[in-house]
Amino acid sequence: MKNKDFAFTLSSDLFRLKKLKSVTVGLILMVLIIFLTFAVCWVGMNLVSRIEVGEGAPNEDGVYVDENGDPVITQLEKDALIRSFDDMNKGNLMSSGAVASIEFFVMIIVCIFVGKDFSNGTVRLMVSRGTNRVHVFFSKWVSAAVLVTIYSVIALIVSGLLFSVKGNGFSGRDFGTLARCFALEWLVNISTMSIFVMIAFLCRSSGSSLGVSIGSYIVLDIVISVIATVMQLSGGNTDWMMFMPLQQMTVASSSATLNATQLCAVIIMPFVYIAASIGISLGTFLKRDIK
Amino acid sequence: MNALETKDLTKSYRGKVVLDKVSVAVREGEIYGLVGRNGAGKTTLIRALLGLARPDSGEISINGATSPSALESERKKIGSLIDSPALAPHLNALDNMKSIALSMGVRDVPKLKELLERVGLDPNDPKKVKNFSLGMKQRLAIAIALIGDPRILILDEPVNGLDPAGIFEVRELLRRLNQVEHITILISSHLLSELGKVANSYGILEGGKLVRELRSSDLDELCKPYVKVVVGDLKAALRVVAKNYKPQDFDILPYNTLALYDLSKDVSYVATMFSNANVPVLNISRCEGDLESAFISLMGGLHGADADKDEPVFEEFAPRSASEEAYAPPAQAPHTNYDENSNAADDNALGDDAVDTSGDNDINDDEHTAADKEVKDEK
Repeated sequence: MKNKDFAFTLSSDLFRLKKLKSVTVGLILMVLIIFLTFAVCWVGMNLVSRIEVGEGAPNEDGVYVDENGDPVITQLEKDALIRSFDDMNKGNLMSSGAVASIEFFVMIIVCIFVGKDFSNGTVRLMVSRGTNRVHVFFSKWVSAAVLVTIYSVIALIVSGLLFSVKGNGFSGRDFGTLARCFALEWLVNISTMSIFVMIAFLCRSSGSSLGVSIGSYIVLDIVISVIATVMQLSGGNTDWMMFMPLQQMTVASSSATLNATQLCAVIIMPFVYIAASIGISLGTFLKRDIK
Repeated sequence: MNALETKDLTKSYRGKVVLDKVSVAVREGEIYGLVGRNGAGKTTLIRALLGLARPDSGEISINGATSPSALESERKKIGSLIDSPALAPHLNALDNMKSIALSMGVRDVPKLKELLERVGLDPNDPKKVKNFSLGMKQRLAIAIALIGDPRILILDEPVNGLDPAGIFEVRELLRRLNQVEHITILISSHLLSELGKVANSYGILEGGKLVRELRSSDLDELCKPYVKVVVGDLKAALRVVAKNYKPQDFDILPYNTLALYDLSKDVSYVATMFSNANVPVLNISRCEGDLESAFISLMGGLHGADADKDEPVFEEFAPRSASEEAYAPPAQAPHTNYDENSNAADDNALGDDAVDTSGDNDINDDEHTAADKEVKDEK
């Protein structure tokens, strides 16, 4: 019965999550963002392909100019431009999780979902009917993880379809990179989601948890960027940045080969943040009275 | 066997005691009415029974189970309605039922529809709960409480927001559940007359303490008649009354009104007594005792409330009987911010148990309303 309890609670949570309008709205917006990102590449490719290649020679600055001294685009430059847009197109596919801004949508949905369950009294009702608090917590955590997974898979599928429109080849190596990027982005999104679940469990209302989440998301980004810029100007090392909360996505979505520090930041740190946020939120939820 | 029982249950918020060694016993198959002013500790007691508030000390027993895991398992047999109804506003009535039913492993949709019909709601109505009236929400919350065929029902203000027909339906439903299905019911309500119609046992909470537990037969004896006097000068009238009556034989009601319980001194005697002392009497009548007066008397009358107005005259007549001492006078009243997270006001955290923190208004609006109503009814 105990084991079934968790399944019952989870099915109830998934039922309510499915009925949440923001899940559908978030999904539509996510697909739109992915489309726009790819559309920028397509527009760029079209513009470059229309450029006329001119004959010319490099001047003293290394710029190719025609007989009149006007700059011209050589075939070499045109090919390089097309290649860069092509790489951008592929990069969009590799970093589908980051492009889709999944962490942002999940932040909003998790705050609304968990906050509403607290303010509506659903959590209160479940606990008063003998549902274990640990089950209540993990049921919400798993529901949010399911949401992240669904969003990630949809983002990957949509990106794949859009890539195929103007994509220029996809090797076996690319497939390996795609799998790595997808896994790391998913892991980073799960750790980000855990942090937002923690905030929602601490705030216990949609409004305040949304406010705190958005605030911390923006403030953390600004503070870390400012410190990093200052350190960069003074010649310091800025590798520590990728170990900070909510800062792993850039590395996770990079299709370049990752060094040991980067791997540590995107593999170990998410687990650290997942464990810490679960510990804090579960500990508080078990200890506190429920309103 | 007792279906619900607490022993010396104590709960405090930020050092302020909200429940003070409360021991209640709800026998199997009875309807137990929990009575008390706002802030008396009714909702906190219910929350503790339901595992929502962790008591500082004391013991809770549900169907004889006392260990945390056994209590958790026994709570599966309890249907509850506390504070505002726990409903998802973006879902319709049936989806709300499904959502909670799923968490209990109940997938019998026809049964859920039957429950909705039982409380007077249309199961096929697509209307979202956010567009429901308060009464409809209350009905839905009662239907949710009945999911899973609970053996115990714990209801906090179940008829709140219902129209008279709705109140009647809920009352009949509760009676039927108790008499036909032998469901034990713990019910807290401010509508004492309503409570009197369904409950067969009562627990009176005051200032976090259980003042008294009584059966409905005990209550009949307490509904004693009294002489009601509206005076022009309350201060002078109280001096006269204090000389002629024992402290437990009179009570101060709102609007310069006194209730005199010693019926050996009839209306003419009282009129003469005030006349001799040159105290103007505006109205004098004999009133039959009612449930409301009996409960108010058991809760310590309105002395403490009036004394809170800082009028010296009331200080002279501070709580006198044992029951009145149990009721904390304003100076020591538990003016508590119950919320441990400083957002009680935001979330209306403890419903009717939220204590006035202004520090100058111990008598609450409900009491004023009840007292006003009483005075108006008399007129």
